[in-house]
Amino acid sequence: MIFRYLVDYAHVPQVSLGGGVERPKPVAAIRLFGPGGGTYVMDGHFDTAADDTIFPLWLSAMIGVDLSQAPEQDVTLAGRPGPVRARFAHVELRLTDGRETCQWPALVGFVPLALRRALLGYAGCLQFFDGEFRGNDREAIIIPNGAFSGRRW
Amino acid sequence: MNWNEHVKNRNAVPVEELLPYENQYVAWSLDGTRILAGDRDPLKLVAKLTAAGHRSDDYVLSSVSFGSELGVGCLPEGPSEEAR
Repeated sequence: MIFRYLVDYAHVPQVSLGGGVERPKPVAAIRLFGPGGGTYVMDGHFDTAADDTIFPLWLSAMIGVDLSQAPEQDVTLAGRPGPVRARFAHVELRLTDGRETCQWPALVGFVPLALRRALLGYAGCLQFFDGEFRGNDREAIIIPNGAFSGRRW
Repeated sequence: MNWNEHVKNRNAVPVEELLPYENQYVAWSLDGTRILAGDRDPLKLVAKLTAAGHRSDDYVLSSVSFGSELGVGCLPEGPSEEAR
């Protein structure tokens, strides 16, 4: 699957970009399915530095995930002053670039933060894919690997 | 949905059209040409969309922010989600 980079913008010229204001990012629409079939699509950011796949807590209720007995663990998110408690649940995730689609079961975390986007980290997402981040072309190539046990079409 | 077409269109939306939604959650049309609605509260956003007749398959949830990020950032603090 090939995902064109999404561009965010800065209000002011960025020193690190030589005065540019465009911030290209490896983002894809990630579809989340709850146990009852509730589903939403949200921007998800591929992050090879992230250990887990994390969604905002508000999304859990919308897809019908019951977190009342969910296992919990602290996770540390970049830019946060301290760890935050994540509650983990089994869901189904789907990625598609419009030509190919992959769907797989995943154990993902939900955090009570206003996350801008889902965080697509190793556990639950990138463990099942090999990736190439082509900065000059502003696209990410994400290919299911041998650990992927979901469905492809 | 065709993500690459979506992003191509979304990247072409002028910044001026994003400014009214700064620090809000938004819902993009599937083709990425426009923002259907926005709100600081994601649950209110979805309620607006539902009231307007949109199903959850009709949009992509996102947010608008102009800050630099290291990893995935958060929108500015609002009411605690736990308090909702």
